[in-house]
Amino acid sequence: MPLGAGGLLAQSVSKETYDFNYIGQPLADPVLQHSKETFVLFGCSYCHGLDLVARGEATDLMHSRLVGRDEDGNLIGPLLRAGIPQTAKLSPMPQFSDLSDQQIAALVRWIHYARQQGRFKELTGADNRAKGTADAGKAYFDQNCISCHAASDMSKVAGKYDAMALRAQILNPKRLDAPLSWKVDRPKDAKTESARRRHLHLLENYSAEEVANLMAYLQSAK
Amino acid sequence: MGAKGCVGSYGLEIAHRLIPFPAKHGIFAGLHNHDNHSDPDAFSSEETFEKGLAYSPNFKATLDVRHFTAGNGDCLGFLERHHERVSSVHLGDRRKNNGRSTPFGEGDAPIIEILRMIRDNQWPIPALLEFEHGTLRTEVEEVRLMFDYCKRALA
Repeated sequence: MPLGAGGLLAQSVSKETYDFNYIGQPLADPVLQHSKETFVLFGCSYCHGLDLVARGEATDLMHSRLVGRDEDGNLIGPLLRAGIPQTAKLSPMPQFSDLSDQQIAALVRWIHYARQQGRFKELTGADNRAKGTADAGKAYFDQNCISCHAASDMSKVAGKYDAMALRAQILNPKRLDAPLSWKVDRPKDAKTESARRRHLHLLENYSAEEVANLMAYLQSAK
Repeated sequence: MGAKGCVGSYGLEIAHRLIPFPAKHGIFAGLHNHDNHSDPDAFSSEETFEKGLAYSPNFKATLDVRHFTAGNGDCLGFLERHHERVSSVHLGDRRKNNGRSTPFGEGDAPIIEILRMIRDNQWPIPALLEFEHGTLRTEVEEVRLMFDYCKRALA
């Protein structure tokens, strides 16, 4: 029985026994929904949390440096296959060597997506809206943004938004939302895709201080 | 309260400190294993269980089948040799070599054999269903399926 995107279920589950309370309602993107269910099905969410709020001894994937550095599973994939058998005190992480490449890719996809969602929420939260310094923001901009964005363009952007909207745009520019269509003739805009990946990577790794500084810099240039 | 024992996930060091207490309260202390072989203090193998059980006759093994299997332990051999010192088994399934948790019957834990061994020898060892694997089903439904699996194993 299809459950929204649940026609992709890897486990046979009826609508009556599907755990909506835990997994939630199906996401609009069936690929992401499948990834989420794969994360549940292989028990990852049991320790790391479905939204990456870790339970007990498990690694905090929301803030793990390894996850932040990972690109398309180049770091997470081998770690999943090998597990972490040797730990001094903590329970070892199981190995998932029997999973297919597709299953590993689905787990990696969910980890990054959930981290991006969580980091966005965190960095737009009231606790992380301290004032930054424009000089530090400029230094960050020059180091990380200038290869794609001219400073003069950014000052125009800053002028278009209030503080909350600007913060949201810095973290996750709306026009870079992922396309849901798999039509073969969909526009293949390599530049947009590259920008989307770059911004999502930054979103996973920004510190609250860096965002505050960037805000201060862009607002000062209005 | 009428409890017969108290089980915990501690290691050899804590177990040693607990030696006087079970006798004082007329209960047993259950030693529960995981599969962390890299921690010499942890209960993870038959050898570490034997060390802990030797501390006191009031200590019993709470054999977690899932973790014992993942740590490449021989559950059936352990039960055969130590059943008189086993307070209960925690039933779950995992794959060997520190493998992942699985639904019943998809891992390497000999769940059917364990249940039949306990029954056929009439050992007073309770088997507790431990639900720790991933599923898209509700918890109630999943545990019902696990219970069905056990009932079919003993049919």
